Amino acid sequence: MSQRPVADDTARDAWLVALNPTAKVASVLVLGLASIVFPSPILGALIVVALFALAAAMGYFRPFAKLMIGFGIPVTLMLLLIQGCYSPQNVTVIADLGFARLGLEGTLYALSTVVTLLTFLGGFYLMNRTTYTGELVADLTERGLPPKAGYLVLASLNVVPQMKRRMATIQEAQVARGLDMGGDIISRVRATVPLLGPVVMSSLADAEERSMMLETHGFHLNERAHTSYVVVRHATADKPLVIASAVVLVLSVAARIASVAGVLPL
Amino acid sequence: MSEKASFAQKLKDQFSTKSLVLIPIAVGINLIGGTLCSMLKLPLFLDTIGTLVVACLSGPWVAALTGLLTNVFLAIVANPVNFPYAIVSVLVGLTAGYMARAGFFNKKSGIVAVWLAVTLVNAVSASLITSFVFGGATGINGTSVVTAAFVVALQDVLLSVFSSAILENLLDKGISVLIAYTIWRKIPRRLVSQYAMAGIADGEAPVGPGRDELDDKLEDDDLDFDDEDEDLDLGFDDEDL
Repeated sequence: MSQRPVADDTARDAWLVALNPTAKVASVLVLGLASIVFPSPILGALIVVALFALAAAMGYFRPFAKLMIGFGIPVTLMLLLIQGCYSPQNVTVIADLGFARLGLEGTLYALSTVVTLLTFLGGFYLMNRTTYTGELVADLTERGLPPKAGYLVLASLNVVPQMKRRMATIQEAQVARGLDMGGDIISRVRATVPLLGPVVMSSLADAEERSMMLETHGFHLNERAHTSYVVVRHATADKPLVIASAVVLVLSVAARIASVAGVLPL
Repeated sequence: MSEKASFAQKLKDQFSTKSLVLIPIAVGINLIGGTLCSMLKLPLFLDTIGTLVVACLSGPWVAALTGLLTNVFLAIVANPVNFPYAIVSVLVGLTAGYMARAGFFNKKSGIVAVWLAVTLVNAVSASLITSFVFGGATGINGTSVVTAAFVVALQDVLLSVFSSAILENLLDKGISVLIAYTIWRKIPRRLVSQYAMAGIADGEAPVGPGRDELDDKLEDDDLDFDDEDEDLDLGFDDEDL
């Protein structure tokens, strides 16, 4: 996510990369919300299928399918067992497993939860693959996000790979000095402090330098608008995408109201 | 009214530029805990160490924001399942922060209290979210298997989720609090004094053993210097620049 995608018009995912980052985030959130609101798992399932199609068209099918199936199957089985067999709402029995009976209401609930989770998981995956975080934050700041909040998001994303590298260095140093990383669980728990301690201490020293740097750059001054080097992309497809997602959400809310009122038999 | 203003002022004091820079680093420490666990093959998460250290350094609300950002980050980068649990991280940050302010991080019995409080807050809020948002399981870790076993035995979803959460948290938070405490004792005084909680560590409450020793050593030649520092502070304010 933190890497900047190379601007290549011939790449298969060029269309998705060229979209405005905020538009992508907004559509993922709105579609996910729609699949929560819609009174049956069908909408979520349709969105998941659409995401699969999109991933395939963009050339990400293999990693996308690996992620979705790797997460989806265990959680589906677990929820079917817990909700399908033991939900207090179960009235209609659809199958007898011997040790427990599978109820229709719990099964539907489990399936709705799973498709909603998959909608968010798949949507965010495609967004992450095709969005440079710096551009997203620059866009959000232009749209009125306080620069301090933008800094928090961006710095959190940047600091993690940096700390992982530092951790690897410290691990090698400590092992060279005789730290035992194997053995029983107690000695392994003990090994956490010599590994984590230096990372934390050097990061705190780093924090001091960063804050001085930010202040010399005038980051804490609020009188003037902050500028950015990052160019934010806008595409003609941005608006139709967000509007289409919003329409799906509105229809889902309508379907939910109709279902609660008893008009729609879902 | 005056009470409210002082709360707002306290909040503002917590969010200085130094704290702002500290937050992403604490988020990094939270997330590196997971890497550490897989490195050492430990069946834990250790994803609250950064929050706990920040609770000691900068206070409850900065710790709460650290927890929130950790989960937002995990939700966007790893798995959206993590997002609703942001509430849990926020509550853990607040609990640890207020307990740190009350001086609990400065003595061993206090650490046990922090451990139990954080475990309870985490287990109760997390199991409510697991039960009511996800219907009992999230499938992202081994806990779901334990929960499923409890469901078969106890026939009650909420109770099962809570039982597995309490088991998992007693172990995980115990080790996290212990590591955070060890680190907190070893943070140099020079670094601590830059953050909002510096007053707590400097005199309002009893200080940690590591700092005690340091104080004893420095007491004689350091006293005059401290007085000078206070005089200098009177006419000098960051905001005036």
